[in-house]
Amino acid sequence: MTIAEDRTVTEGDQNPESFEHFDPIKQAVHLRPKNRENIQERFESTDPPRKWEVSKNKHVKAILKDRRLQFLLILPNQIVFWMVIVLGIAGTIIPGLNFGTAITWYLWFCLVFVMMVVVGRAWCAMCPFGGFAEWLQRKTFWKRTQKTLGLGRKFPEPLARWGFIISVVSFIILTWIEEFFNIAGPGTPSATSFMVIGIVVTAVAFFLVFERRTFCRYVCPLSALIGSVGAMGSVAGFRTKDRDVCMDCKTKDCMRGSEDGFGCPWYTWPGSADSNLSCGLCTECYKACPSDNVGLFLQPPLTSVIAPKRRRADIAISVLLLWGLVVFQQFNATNVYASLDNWLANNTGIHYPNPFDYLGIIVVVAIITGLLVLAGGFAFGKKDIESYKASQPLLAAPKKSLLSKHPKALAYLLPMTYGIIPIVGADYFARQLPKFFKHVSRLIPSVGAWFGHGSTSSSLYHTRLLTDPQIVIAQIIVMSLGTLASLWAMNKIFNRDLKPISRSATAMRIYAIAIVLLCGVGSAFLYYLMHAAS
Amino acid sequence: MTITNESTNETKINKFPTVTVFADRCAGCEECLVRCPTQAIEMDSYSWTVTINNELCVGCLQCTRTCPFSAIKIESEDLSKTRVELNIHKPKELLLDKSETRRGITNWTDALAEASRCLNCPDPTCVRGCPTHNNIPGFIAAIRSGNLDDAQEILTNTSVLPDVCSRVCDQALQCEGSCTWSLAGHEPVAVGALERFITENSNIGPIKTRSEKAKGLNVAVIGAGPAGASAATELVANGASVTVFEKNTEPGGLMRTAIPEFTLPQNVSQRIWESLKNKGVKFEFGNEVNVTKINELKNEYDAVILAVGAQAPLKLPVPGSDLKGIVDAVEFLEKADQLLKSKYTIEEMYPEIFKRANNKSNGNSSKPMILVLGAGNTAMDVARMSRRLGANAVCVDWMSQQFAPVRPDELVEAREEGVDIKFNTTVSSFVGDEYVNSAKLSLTQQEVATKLPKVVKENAIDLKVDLVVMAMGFRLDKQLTETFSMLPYRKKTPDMIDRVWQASGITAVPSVAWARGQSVGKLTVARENARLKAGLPITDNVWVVGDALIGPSTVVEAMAHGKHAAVSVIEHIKPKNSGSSDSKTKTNVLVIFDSRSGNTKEVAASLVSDLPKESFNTYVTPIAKVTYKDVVASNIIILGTWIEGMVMANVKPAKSTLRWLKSIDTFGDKPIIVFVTYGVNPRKSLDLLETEFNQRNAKVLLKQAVKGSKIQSQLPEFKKQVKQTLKQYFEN
Repeated sequence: MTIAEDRTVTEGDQNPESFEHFDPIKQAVHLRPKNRENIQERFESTDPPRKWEVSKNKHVKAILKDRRLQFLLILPNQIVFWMVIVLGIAGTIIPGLNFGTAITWYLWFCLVFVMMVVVGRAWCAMCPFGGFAEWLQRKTFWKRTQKTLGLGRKFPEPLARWGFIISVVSFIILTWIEEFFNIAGPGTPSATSFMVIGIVVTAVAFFLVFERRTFCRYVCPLSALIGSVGAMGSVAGFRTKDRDVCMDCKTKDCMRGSEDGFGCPWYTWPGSADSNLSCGLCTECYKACPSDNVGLFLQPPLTSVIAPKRRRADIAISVLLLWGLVVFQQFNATNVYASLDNWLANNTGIHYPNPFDYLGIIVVVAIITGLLVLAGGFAFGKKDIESYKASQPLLAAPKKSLLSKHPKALAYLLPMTYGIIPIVGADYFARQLPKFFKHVSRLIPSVGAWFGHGSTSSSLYHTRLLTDPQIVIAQIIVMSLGTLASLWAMNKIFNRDLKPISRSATAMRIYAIAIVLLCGVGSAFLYYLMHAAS
Repeated sequence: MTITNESTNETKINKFPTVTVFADRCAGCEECLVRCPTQAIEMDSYSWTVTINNELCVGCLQCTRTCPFSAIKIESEDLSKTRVELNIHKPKELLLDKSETRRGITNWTDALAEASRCLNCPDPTCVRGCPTHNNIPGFIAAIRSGNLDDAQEILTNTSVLPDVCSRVCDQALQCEGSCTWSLAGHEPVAVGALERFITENSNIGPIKTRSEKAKGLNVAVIGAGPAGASAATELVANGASVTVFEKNTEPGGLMRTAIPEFTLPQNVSQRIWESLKNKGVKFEFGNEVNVTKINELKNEYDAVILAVGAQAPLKLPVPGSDLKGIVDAVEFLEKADQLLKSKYTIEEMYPEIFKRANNKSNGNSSKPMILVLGAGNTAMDVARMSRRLGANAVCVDWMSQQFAPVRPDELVEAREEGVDIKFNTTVSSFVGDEYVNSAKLSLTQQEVATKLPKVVKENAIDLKVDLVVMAMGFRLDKQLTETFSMLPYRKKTPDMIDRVWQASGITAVPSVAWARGQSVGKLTVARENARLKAGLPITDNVWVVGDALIGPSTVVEAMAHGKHAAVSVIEHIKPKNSGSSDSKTKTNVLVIFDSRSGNTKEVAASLVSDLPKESFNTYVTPIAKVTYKDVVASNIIILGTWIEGMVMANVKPAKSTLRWLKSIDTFGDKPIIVFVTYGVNPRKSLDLLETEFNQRNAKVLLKQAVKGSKIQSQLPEFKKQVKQTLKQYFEN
């Protein structure tokens, strides 16, 4: 007598432990066998080590099974962000002393980046914007409800086909708004309030029109950033424990939902997840699985950068655009930029940041970086790479997009772009350091301000954790670490994905390393320039 | 798809469907691949997504319905080919005509063409849509290969009345409504017509003996309708001896009395009874079984299958409804049938009524007017019968036409035969001295199907009538509902639909045009739940099936219930008079555990680990995976759960356990052993569980609390108790 728990007992399943049922349907069902060809090698590089399953622990298991978990994660953030909204409008108009602006821009934004690099989508699990909208959509704070509020539409195919690129575009737009209205400076506290309200309203609208977490998956401004930079993270997310059980499963409760959990809101199947890219750590699949076959796994850092076999074109393009954006944010502090922007402002009538130079710089940096990568591919790569299978491009319909016409270009572009993810991540992080080190202590007077005890004259308001030159050193250290991580990742990626398609492996390797160094040293140098300019 | 147009010798290329697999969302779960009828879907093991070959795709949209993440989009014109047109026979002279109006496929060319429209889906939704789960793609494939005997054998595996069902089933809400083509918005395969083609062109022989499994069993089947026929057939085919009790002097139930000759010829509806007689089934006619009689039969026979139907006709409680000249539909149809057979017209039916009518009209030979209350299928039968007997007929129904439960083809046929059908109309009173003279009709309005119509205009029409026939439906006999308080089970679709059914895609379309805009998926799931219920006895050895179980429904559902109950009887009942128990199947012990830390699982697994394999089948399963079918198949259930709550406050069995218990209406008198594992104090958890079980018609034989930290020391004693309980229970 063995316990049948490790098997999915469903209709049509020849389970010797189950009673024989009188089931006339069975006779008529003749499902085609599943294709499991190469399944082992397909996932072996991305499957986290079995012993790294955190959910094995009894207490962790109990916490993850508890339906209130995500609610309790969201609740504190929910409270803080409603305070941000209220205090931003009703509180003091001194940005540094207003709790809303202080916590958002001195602390929260930095913390999000730390969580991203260390964990992955940790923020998504506790996000008050999506969380709030999801409460409405599900008509509950934590219960499993079977009927949802709203239209439950599917995101239109022509848009959804662009994957995370929509999210990058909305991030670029939001960043422009932030800069234009000087929200993140921080500027007028009410501006921050209105930005947060805008995000919440958009999220609610999307949650009520579309099914699941369509907003988070496709539209949220932070989604692509967290997804791509989060690939460095050491949490693999929820994955299958035994892939055979998932392949045999006839019910797919993790995708469709069961009595105990909703179907994956992020459109991810634990059975085939090969990176932490779209695991929102919401624990629904873990709760829903009837076979107890889903676990929460850790993975070595950078695994999701290095290991995925299916590299995604939308992520590669997202990374390039995000890189363009962060370079813009560094470059905009230089004198060269100031004169360019002034000239454009005089000629177009739109003040900083002028949309032309803003978008221009982002796109030019992204394209130059992309072209540099491709140049290496064409210079040192094999002429004929038919045998090398390019990943399925995600952009546009097959045979229609520019990229899918050039699988060879993709074969070089995707792996190499994945290789610079750590640099992009480090750059975003380094960019947040000044606000944190200069001003985070203002949080204390900003809380005091509620009781009339905080003022701009208090010493804490002016306390800095590091001096300006120290901050630049910290930024350069962060960039160096990012560059080292990138070098390591690029080397690994090169060995698996690029070496087989190189004509001259040595030349290609040197070229790849050169690109990493160019990006890493270039942005570190920009931090130096920024300091010099101020 | 290349189609050669022979007349012009041109090759016309149909446009292939436009196929998009949205690679971002495709998770490579292969739910679509395993179900694609044309094998157009392949796996790309590198990207771990599927690819679809649009040259093989026929646009049936099965993949889009089964994809959990809606990652597939197919745009296609209708590639389902043209559906066969069926003839409606219109008698030249309606008066006294009793020829069948609906006709089937008459030649092999049409049959083969129609059969070739079937895609032979790997997960055929039509089979789920059919209440008795006929292997539809199976018998259609047999037609394609020209083998009607095989086709008939496949059909009679699951259906004892294919000749009846193919004539009277509302296929649009069943097999045809759930055909992949109709789910895709096209015209379904004419399943009903193909089924009829088989039965009309092959000889349904005597009932074959399938096994000796039920040898020695002596079963009473009460009611000779479709449910009884199906149960009796299944039982005798497996060697049981069966006695059928019927209150009328002839078998057939509503099939005989309520469905007229021109819809269901007598020789068709009576065939099964002849076969049963020939197979040795005993009949006791004119023997109405009441509650005391059931108790007697329960002791006398090994099992009783109650298939008495819903017998009490609904009455309209309006002023004047006790006047003479107001009759119910079954009485009318039975009399009318006799008249039609002996070629008499309606005047002979109720001589005193029509003589009066003739006197009143002073010899003017205007046709008598018959008012039929209701516009369902029975009402149509009454009205059409009236037309055949030379009367005028008006049907009134307070529902709106779009929500009325009538077959649209039946409606068309009735109107063509001159029946006046008024929807949104109801009777507010009958007028007359002794006999009914006229009816006052009011107009109603109904906006949604789930809400009752409202009267908007009182007494709008004054209609002269000679005879009123109430054909508003039936309900269960009072005696039955008083004896078994859980009757009738109302068919309902649960909020969370069975994931296996959902996986097939049948529930993916909320409104199917062919099914008159209804959700076939929801209907089928509700029907299946009722069918499973029929497999559970209502008390120790009494099964209730068909209309008696769920209220007025259909021939095919009654038949499906009868079969399932019979299978359940064969599997679970030991013959009373057989001394040897070794010929009997083993005892099924179902062990269900709800475990959080693993303690409950540990206890559950070891409880039954050393039961003798020769007399027990054991199945240990987590609560999330236990199916209703497992409950039906088990002879005893052991349930273990953990205790939630703080040390003192709110201590009770795990929520998921209680939720599962609440999802089961009845355990059909099954014995239960229940245990909990606890940390500090289980408080009243065991009592709570016992109450829950008792409310659901189960008897708790043993309850036990095991302390999580003392499992090792407490388990041996508990195991001993379980063994003893099982031994005691199954020896008695």
